[in-house]
Amino acid sequence: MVSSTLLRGEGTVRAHGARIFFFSLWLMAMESLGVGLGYRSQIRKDILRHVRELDFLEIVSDSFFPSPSALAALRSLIPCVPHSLRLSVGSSVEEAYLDRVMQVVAALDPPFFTDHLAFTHAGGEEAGHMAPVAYTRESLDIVVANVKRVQQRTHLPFALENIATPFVWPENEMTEGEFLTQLTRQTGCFFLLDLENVRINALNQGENPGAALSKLPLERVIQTHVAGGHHLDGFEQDTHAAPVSRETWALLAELVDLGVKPSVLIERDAGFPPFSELLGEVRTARAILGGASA
Amino acid sequence: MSYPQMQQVIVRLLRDRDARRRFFDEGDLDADLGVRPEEALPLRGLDERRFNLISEGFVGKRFERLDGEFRLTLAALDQHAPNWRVRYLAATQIPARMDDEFKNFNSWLDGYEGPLGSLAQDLRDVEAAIHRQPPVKSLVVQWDPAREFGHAPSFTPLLLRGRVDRWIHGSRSAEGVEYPADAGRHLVWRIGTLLQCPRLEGPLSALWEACKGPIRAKDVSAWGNGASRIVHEWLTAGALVDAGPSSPTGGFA
Repeated sequence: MVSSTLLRGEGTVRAHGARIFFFSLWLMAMESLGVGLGYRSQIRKDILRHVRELDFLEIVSDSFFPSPSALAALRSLIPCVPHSLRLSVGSSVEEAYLDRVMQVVAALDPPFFTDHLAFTHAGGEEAGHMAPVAYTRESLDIVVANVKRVQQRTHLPFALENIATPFVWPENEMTEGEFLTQLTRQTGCFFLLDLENVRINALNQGENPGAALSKLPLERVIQTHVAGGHHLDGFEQDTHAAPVSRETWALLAELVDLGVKPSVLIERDAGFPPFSELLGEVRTARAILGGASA
Repeated sequence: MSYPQMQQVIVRLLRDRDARRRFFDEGDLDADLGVRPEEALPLRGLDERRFNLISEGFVGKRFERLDGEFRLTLAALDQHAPNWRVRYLAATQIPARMDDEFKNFNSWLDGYEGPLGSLAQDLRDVEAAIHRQPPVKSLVVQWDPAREFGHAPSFTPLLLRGRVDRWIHGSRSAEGVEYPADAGRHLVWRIGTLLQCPRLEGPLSALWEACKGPIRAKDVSAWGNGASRIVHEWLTAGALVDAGPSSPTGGFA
């Protein structure tokens, strides 16, 4: 049993309580999707077999770019949320990529769609990985402009996920929380809160995960990701190849304590266990959303 | 150095292991980045180990990407040439454009001389052709939850496995060609209308060649060479729905 209070950062979380409460009322109007699973081809058959035990699926949009219409059948079974990987709002959004994202969005007719607060390419070259944006005014202006461009393509809510940052820009002018707060205020976009990435970044940067959580714009959270990672070569890595850690469950409990009950997505990309274990994690998430500690 | 230039440097360091080593060890930057090494000094304080870890972590995604396009080719290589992935990574960099991973793979495979050599190239050609063009155009592929999807419309490989095995059996004695006993399992994944495989012979070749351009199920029956039986199998297996004006089974029932 992990108490959420173990990770709480010196009372700072409570200071956000009132603000979160009012925004949460608004978000509740959107109705949480419940608890879902990341759709991956490796567990496709199990997902389809147990689809009634899941509330929604998150679809990696990029996997369906060649045939978005193939998603119609899946959508008829269960609500699906598209999650793209390479919009690169931190540098420049390529029109052709955005078109393909929108095709998947149109095929799924989701309540919202998501990507990452990151850049994946610059100067015509792709990184092969998501890189963090600098938390500066200049960078903020770039991200705001790109998010608005995405939002102009659809009326659907758009959310950005906090990534596991492999490094911290040396000339940051603000914290991640301050940057995200400015971003959500200036664009009206939402926040896909990856709790595992909060945990990983905090530990890699010598911070308390609970305190790090408290600095984020929790009132804009529309969905959370929970996953498991590994400790490799002295660093926490977001491998998504292990069971959700107790610390990450505790962060979810922390959110619930604050009155934030977003959709929860169990992410597993590799090292797939027997499907019953993933369903067990779904039940754990539901229990926490229902008010129980992990 | 502007922010976009700094981003470009970061991208290069994440992608290119040689550039990364030169930058962190010697402070050198590739000239094409247009950044003087002294301008990039703030970035030298970043942890090279993290960049290495990230880059290594991307290996799986590179293969995932290839697997989406050349699933059976990779499976065949894994089975018959267990160290091919190490050789591939040693010979290639993370490409500047993600789609160039396919070019990387094609070039590497063209020069590949390990186990399975020519079959691996055949498989690659077949799978590439299948991805370029969906099956018979006037036949709409029906999605089936039990079947793999996510790319161009797919067919159940087992439907044609026996036929391809027979074709390969006929080619087995050809000079310079060595196929495993179960090559059909590797070879047939999806059937494309513009399939071009230089060594393709027999009934399947006739069908694939004839499938260039819009056709209806009932037209296929006139081709002979076993085409009607094949399409009938596709229809009865639920892989196809006849979207043309002919009967739902295109006269095959």
